[in-house]
Amino acid sequence: MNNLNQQNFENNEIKELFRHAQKITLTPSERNRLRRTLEIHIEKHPVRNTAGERLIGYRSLLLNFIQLPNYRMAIILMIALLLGGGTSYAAESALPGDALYGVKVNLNENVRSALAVSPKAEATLQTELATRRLEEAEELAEKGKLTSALRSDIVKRFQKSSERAKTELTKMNTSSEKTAVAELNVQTESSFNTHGYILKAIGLKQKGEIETEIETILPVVQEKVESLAKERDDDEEKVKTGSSTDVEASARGKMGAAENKINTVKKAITKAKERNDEWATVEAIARLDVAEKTFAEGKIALEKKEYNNAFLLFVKSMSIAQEAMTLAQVSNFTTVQIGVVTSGTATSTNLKNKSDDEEKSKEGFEDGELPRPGETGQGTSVKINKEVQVGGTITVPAPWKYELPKSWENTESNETETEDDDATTSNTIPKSSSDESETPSSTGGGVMPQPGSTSTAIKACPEQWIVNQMPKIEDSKETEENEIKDSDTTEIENQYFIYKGIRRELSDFDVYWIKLNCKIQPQVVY
Amino acid sequence: MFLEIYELYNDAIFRHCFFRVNCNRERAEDLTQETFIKTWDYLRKGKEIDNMQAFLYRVANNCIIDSMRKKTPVSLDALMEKGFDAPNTTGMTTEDTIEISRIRDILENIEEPYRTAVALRYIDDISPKNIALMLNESEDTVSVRIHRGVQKIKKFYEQS
Repeated sequence: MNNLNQQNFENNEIKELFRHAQKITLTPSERNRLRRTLEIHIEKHPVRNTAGERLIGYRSLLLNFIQLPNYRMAIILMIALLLGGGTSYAAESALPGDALYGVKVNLNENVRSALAVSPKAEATLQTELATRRLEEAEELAEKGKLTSALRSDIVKRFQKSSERAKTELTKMNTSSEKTAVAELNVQTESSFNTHGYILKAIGLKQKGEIETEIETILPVVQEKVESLAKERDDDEEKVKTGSSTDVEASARGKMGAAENKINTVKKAITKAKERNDEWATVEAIARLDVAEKTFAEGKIALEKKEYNNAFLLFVKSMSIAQEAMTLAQVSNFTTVQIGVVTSGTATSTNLKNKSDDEEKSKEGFEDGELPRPGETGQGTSVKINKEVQVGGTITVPAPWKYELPKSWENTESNETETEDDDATTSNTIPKSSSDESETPSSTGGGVMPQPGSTSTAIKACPEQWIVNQMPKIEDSKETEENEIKDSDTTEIENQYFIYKGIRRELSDFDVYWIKLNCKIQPQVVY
Repeated sequence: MFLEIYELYNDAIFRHCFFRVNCNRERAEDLTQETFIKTWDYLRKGKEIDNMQAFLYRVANNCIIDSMRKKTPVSLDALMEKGFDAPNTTGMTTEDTIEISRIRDILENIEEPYRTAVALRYIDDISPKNIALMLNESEDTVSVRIHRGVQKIKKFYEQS
């Protein structure tokens, strides 16, 4: 007993002796310096393979859970495990009807749901899951595998997820949470809207049974979009009536968020470009452009201290950016559009007619009770029809009911008029001013199709690209090329390729493809 | 994720290194950096780590030993001759500085493997079980080392 006491005493004494050692810590500057060095090192030496990460997560999961005061890490590891674990990982890409689809929706998604603790996390997740269902429908439809059984399963799950999201959102009542709810709603609305559009486009392309199935899905999606639009209206009222300091703070917060979103979209577009996703790129860039313009408007409003307005503009900018994001990410949709573009006028006309019919019957997804800004304008409806050929009406953003300043409305209509040019010029990689002159014949193949121009386009690298800049006047040029030239340059250029030793015209080639895939540069001759 | 580990353990590893390199802040900082970089390099090769804390200390120990080998060790005699070498205790009170010096003196006067055991137990506040894990020894061995280390400290005090 005595011995034990003595030992305890000694122990405490020793502890006391070393107590001051705890004061030895890194100073903040030292700590940051080390962190930076480490960050640079990590950046320069990234993980070699993902399998390794999985092992770490897998083996140290329990230990970390016990030892680390940091719960977050355990959760991160758990998610890493989930995403990395063999079967469940393979199941992530499963489609309805696949063997692993059950694992995906019943195991993976439920575990994720269990991990989402807060109402916000749960709502975000359920929204994501609902969007996922739409993506699955798109993929199935695209592959021609969308049967009525699978469709009803997808619709059921879509409704379940979106209902759950809605229920979770009603739990969020504080003012800061309300803002988050509004934000999430706007994002969901635009996401559903875009997917609805994509589904419709696939339906128009696939026709027959697939189209019928898609027509059954669309009203469900439309209903959700409408109810979200209604909520957004209500939310806006709340924002408008909020106190000015609150609104200023949220407007500034939203500005940052919108900026981030726009940057993310830019990255996604770069990726889409990398995988030659022409349609996605053109459509997304057009959207991004609108988002950026709206963002700029928001900034102006912020400077003018019109905080409510600024807030709404930023939210709108974010939402449009979200649509651009969705478009840039829909890689499987590419084939549809390329199908439309390359199959020439015939398909375009079909689409055009259908689109006309829908406009008349007002049953189309993007019409009906969801009016677009400027839709009533005569010019717009013509434009819409024309645009269906490249990718459709979504270049005009979803039904916005915001009370926007007049300047915005102007931008919108200008945007519609100049959209084609914007899209094509920003889409191509500008090398020299001469580039602009032949873009219409490349991407323009979709915008203003000339029979036979794109359907037989050669996708091969020519040896030379000659730009003849001998000063001479040619009147027999194609109309749209002249138009561009008249406005842009006074020089008349005559461009052609040397392919297999023979002069070939630009119109024989898929110029966009060449720009992306060949190292060839225009060579100017005088 | 790895940066979170860094945030969690940087002070502990730094402290550990600090007392093992004669309270030289700069060297301790270098060693801390080396420890985390080496750990990252180990992880990125896809190898697994069961216990991050134990692993970090083990790497730190190896780094310390390596650095000792590279640099000609400063003998205690030489240090004594040179006189009192005030440890670099940035931003600390005089009392703390004195205490830190004392800890340094204590540690210098107990030989390995007792020094490591005591340092890990009392400075880094790690349980004997985890120390055993770090040093690849049995828990009993570690407990004995700690105990003997404490006895040596006591003896050192009685002598001075």
